[in-house]
Amino acid sequence: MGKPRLIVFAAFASLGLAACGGGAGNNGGGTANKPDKVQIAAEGPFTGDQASIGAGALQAIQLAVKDFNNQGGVNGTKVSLLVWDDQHNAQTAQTLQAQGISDPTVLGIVGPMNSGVVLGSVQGLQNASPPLPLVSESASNVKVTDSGNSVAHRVNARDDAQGPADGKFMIDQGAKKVFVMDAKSDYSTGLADQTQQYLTAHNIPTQRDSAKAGQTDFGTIITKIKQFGADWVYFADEGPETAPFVSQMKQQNLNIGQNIQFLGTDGEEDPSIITKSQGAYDGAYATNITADPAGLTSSAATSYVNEFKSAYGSDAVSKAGPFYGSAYEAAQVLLQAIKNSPVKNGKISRNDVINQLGSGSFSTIFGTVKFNSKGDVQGGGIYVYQAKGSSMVVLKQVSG
Amino acid sequence: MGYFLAQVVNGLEVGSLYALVALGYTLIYGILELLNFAHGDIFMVGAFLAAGVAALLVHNEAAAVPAGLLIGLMIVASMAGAGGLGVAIERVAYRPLRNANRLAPLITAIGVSLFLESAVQVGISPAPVGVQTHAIISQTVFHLGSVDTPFSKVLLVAVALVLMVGLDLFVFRTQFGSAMRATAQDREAATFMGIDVDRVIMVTFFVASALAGMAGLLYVLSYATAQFFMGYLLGIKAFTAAVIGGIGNIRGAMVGGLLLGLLESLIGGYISTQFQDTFVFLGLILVLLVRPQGLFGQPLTDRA
Amino acid sequence: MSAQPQAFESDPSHPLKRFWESGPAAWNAALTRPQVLIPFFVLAALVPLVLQYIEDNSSWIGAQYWTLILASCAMYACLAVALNLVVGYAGLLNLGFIAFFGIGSYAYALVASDQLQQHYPLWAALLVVVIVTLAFALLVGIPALRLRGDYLAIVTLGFGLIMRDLILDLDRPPVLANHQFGPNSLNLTGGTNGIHQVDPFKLPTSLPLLGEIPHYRMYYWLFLGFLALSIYAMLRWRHTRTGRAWVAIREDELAARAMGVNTFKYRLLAFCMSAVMAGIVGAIDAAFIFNAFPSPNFDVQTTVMVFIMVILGGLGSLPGAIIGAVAFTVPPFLLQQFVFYKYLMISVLLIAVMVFRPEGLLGTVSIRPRKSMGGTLELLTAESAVAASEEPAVVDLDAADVEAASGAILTPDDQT
Repeated sequence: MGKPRLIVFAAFASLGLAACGGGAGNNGGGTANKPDKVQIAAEGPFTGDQASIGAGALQAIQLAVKDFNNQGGVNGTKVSLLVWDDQHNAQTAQTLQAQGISDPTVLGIVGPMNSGVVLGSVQGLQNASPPLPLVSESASNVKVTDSGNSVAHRVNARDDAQGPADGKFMIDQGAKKVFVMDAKSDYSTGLADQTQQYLTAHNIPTQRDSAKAGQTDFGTIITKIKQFGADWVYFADEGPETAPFVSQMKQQNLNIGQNIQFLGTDGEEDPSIITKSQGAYDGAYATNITADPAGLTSSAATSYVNEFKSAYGSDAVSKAGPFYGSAYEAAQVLLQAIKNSPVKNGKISRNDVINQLGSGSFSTIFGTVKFNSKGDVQGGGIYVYQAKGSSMVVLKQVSG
Repeated sequence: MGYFLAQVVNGLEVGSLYALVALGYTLIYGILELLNFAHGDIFMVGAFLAAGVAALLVHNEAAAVPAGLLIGLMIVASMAGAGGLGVAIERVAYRPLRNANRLAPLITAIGVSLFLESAVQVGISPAPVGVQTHAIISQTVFHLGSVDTPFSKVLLVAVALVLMVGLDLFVFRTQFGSAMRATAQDREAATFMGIDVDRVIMVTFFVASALAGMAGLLYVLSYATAQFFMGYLLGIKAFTAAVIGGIGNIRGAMVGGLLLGLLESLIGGYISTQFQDTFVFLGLILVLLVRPQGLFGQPLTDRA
Repeated sequence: MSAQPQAFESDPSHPLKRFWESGPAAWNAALTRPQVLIPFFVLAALVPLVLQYIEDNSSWIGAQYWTLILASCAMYACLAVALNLVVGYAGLLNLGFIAFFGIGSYAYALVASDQLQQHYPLWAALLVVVIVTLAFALLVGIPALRLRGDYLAIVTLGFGLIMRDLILDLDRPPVLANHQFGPNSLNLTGGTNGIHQVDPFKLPTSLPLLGEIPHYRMYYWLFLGFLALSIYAMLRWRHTRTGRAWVAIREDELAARAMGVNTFKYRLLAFCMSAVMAGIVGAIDAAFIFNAFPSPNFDVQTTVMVFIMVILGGLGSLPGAIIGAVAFTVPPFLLQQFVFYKYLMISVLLIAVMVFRPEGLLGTVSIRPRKSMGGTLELLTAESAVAASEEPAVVDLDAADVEAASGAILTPDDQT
């Protein structure tokens, strides 16, 4: 290409850029309040190392979109769902989100599910024009909403609510010395820090350690636990390391419920851990930052569980992971916010969706949801489970 | 004192696994001067084969066949399966490159390692697979003072020792062993002496891989789990052990493995579990700088 | 070889056919001529403008997405060129290669974010990146390069693992033997989350004629520019004493030493240069994605990925490195549903290439197996002598530079 053509071409390009504001196509308005196209995205680790929490959440979101469309969608327009599998990787998330950022009909994200992914990609979402809002069902790190952005919202409780609640639970159960462990992941490290802080502030001696993701030999650490003389082991983990860990505890004569107590966190109220640990997990406790609809008695929750089962099979709930309830809830919130946003020329602006999220009040299977100015829910609860026999039983709800 | 002993026991248990896998690395390096990066993954495949047999024959926490037979089948599956895999890999991926530049088989070995890991991840399971060991071996926990250790780990150490002694006898007291040592010393000269080098290499790969497969079985019996990346870190550590002991030297690999396990446990128990691996590798680098031939190796001649 | 020029001149076939038969060395020589490279980079730089134009004038949306993909390609191409330098040119198996990329990204993030409350201007930050990466390269290289090739592989692998552990564990003061080293607030690396809210480079966001430059486009151009710079440097370097020394060492280290080449110094130079290049790419990446992440930046699988790019493209070949980079970056984006199978396919491909065609597409480094164990035996047979004389010569005899003369795959038998 010769020089003169280059200049002409560049001139065209810059004209094109200047006219960019209009976005893709101007199809004009349809009927007054009916938008032309509405899309939302579901984002999370749907495959990969965290598929056990992601798969069930995706099913829940798909169900939520289907139900919403069946009830009329956004004034007649059905919502399309994009599926962004970020595989628990923030860089992959950024690339996937790029697809949505430049498309003004993508109005929000249900997810990302992992705190680390949110923290690693929120800048791009915030800097987009207009910014792309997200409603997460499980990101619990405090920085997600504390860092002052306008896009992040979440329906689950934060680490600084769960940590103290966990600490208080152990103290109430008579803990004297707690060995605090995490699994070196974006979720567990922050949470374990919060719990340890609470325990130390209440004069409970603690020792801190971590397991590496994928570690299977815990012999050295367990010997340390015995040396420390702990009566409680707190293991913040998303699930995979728990079964080998408690099995090896038993191999070194630490029997849960007999000479030691165990408290796990989200992902560890999974009954398959009992099978995988061949019973060593029996008697262990676990807390969760969202409710399990199957453990609630409200009509909204029960009918949701029935609907989930009839859509995905009678054993679907047991395989759905810890967030199949909060994912549905988060989707409901986002969809209602979109529905309540004004339609101008057949389009809904993300800025209006963000305003709705900030000011509106939404009815979900867990009751009414309202966000505070940072994007956190007011009044989130922590739920305690215990392994009894071959299932996890809901004990009670606690707060810090 | 009790704590020290407990960590020593941990170290010996983990070290026995390292030693078994290190033996494989050292055998292959001695014969071909090839660092078989895929060896750790052969260990992983052995573990999965054993887990597979268990999954087939154990239902609802009860074995469908007598325990002895079950274990026998698992041994055959893991050792023969891993051994066969090793031979196949040698034939397909390494033999064509036997006379190539040193880089070539190394790069191929990395490819084989990644292949085995991905194949198991995609074909079997990305999540860890559980094994119902309660139905296979005794779950008694032995108490020696303040040290508690399960039967499976004691078995691990015992079997590893037996295998190591057996291998030592095989390599140093049998005719085939002499052939192996001759090929390791000088491949060309061995051909002139009438040794079928290809066959020796094949058997070496089989033996090395079978040992790794056995290690996989012992692992499964102790840890009741198998996952696709379990061979990666363990392979690197076993390989570190082989180098520390003197790569190419069988007794070096045995001692290196046990020593590495001990070091790891003691460093983890007294200094830091988090930086355990870091110290282990720093140790490796230190050994390579100060005494590159390892503990038992011959001083290296300057070959380009 | 006096028979050859005659055979060449009397060959009636089409010049293109002769070119094809002349082998990778000549292809490389042709592809790295300025007449090819400059238009290539100019066109590559214009692509995002074209994409934007199409997006503005139709209902297609995807300019940003595709520019991001291209930026990724350019980044991996830079890494492939850097790896090519250390493995292809100098013959060193650096299995911890990607750690230097990660070190570069973290070094930049530490001086350009709130992690340590430092916000250096661009040039100062890049200087820090270069110094830090160089320091680590020397730290690893000086001891390791005295060892044999296989040991170098292990040591660099161990280094990569150590760095990964350090990055993951230094989000709090290390506690060794119950002593805490550092104040409670010490958080160097952000642990598993990495470092967030990294400052992008302070560059103009709009230029005359080109108008507004969105973030992603600017960084595509930055990666592309660095790629061009690296290739230019490599090409110039080849004809210097250092370049020739590298080739001599790679082909036969003993002979090189016998000729008085200080192998240690040159290997160290290649190692360090490759590391610093990777580090700078890491810094650009951190500024690009506003984050420094531990994964995939320190994962061994990423090193393997860059390896396959270099191997497939061909060791020693710069155009090959670019082709390899594009070949392995674009498909995973397009085939999202197959990402699960990505490493499976890559590993099979790597093995296949190594077994059947170790020189890849355009490689000029002969790592092929020699036909027999000694080589001396080979020359004595009449057949091989005849076969050698029938090999076609390189097209451009003037450009038959060091690389062609020593690395041509055509004549594997006459390396004594």
